[in-house]
Parts: sequence; C-alpha cells; structure tokens
Amino acid sequence: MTITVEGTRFGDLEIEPDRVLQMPNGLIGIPGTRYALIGDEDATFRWLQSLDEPAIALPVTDPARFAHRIELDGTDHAGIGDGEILVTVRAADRAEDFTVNLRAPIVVRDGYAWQVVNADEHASLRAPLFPSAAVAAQGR
Amino acid sequence: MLHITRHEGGAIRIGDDVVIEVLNVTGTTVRLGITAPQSVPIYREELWQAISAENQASAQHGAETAPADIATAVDARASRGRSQRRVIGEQREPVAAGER
Repeated sequence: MTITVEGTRFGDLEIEPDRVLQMPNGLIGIPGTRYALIGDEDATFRWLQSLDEPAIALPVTDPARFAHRIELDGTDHAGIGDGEILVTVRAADRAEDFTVNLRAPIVVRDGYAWQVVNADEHASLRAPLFPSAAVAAQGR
Repeated sequence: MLHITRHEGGAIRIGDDVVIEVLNVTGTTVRLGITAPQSVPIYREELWQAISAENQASAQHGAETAPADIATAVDARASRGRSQRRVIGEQREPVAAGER
C-alpha cells in the first residue's frame, strides 16, 4: 500500500512501499527511524526523506561519483554487511562549496539503512564534494 | 546526572545487557571497556555531536536550496568531462554567488 507523506518540501509525497528504508538507529541526532530514498536511481542526487518528520529531507549522493573512496572495514558496522554507500550532502550557494560527510556514511541494504562511523579518523565530516583539482581546473 | 565512583576493574551495568567496565586509570585518562548488543550504537561524544550537527546542516541547507537548483548546479558541474550529460529537473539560470 502506498504511503502518503503530507507537507514535505516536495509537496505531498506518495511513497511506494519498496522505497521505504527502515533506519533502526535513525540518523545521528535526528528523530525518526523511517525514511524513503526519493529521486531517480540514476540521479546524481537523491533525497533521504523522513517519513516520521515530513519537514526533514537530506540530499545524499554516491561518493564514488565524485572520486571519493570510502572503505568500511566492517568493525564499525558489524552485522550490516555490504550495501550501497551514500553520503549526506551539505548544499551551498555555489557548487564548489558543497561538502559531503565521509566520516558518517550511510549503508543501504535490503530496505534497511544505517548511518555508520567511518573507522578512518582522517575521513572528513566536510569534504569538498568536488575534489579541489577538478574545481580549480573548471574555475568559474 | 547520576554519579557513581568505581575503582579499576569495577563496572556498571545499564539495563540488562550494557556493561561498562573501568579497565585502567592513568593520570587523567580512563580506559573503558563496553559490552553492548550490536543494535546499540556506541559513539565518542564529540564525534556524535559533530555528526549530529552535520546531519542537521545537511537537512537545513538542503531545505534552503531548491531541489532543482541542486540537481542542475551540481549535475552540470559533475557531468563536465564526461561523455554523457544528464539533465535533471528543469534548467535554470545559475544563481550568482552572494545573490541570496
């Protein structure tokens, strides 16, 4: 049965059940445990829309699209196993000011998702979305 | 806040299945051993705070930026240098920096 979420920033949303993601531990610091990934699967950006709090939606992306490598050695997400990895995006006025959180990626698998802590202490909470060389080359 | 004094080797239990043990104390540093079910996430407080702030910022900044703006601004940039260019949402004039 389709789930209707009213009053989101995208208007009233009809969510197909297979789009629902259970996040048993939620997103760190944000209330709610049910989300949906909205947007085209091929899109660079998708939105993690809260089904519990309609006002909450976070833009997410696949870090590999921007040449960001994330390796999870398993110790921080034992029991979760392999899954699709997404990172939250902090938007800004200019594309080159966009950042992604590589320290706390989101692992998506079989209708569940977990925000895990990257064991790599050098992984940045605010890594530039576009690697600096690319931005410099493209200029503005 | 509940205060409990423990010596090295002492432990406290929270609920039925979370145990925090004082492994050793060196100067001002305490080494703790934590036993908890896998379903209970454990974070260093400062990291939890930092990730929490980042999640809130992502939701906040995302809300201030129109979805189509994000898609076009970033997709256009991301697709440069690729053979294939995908356009998502309607094309808009780029917003000049500092205009808002």
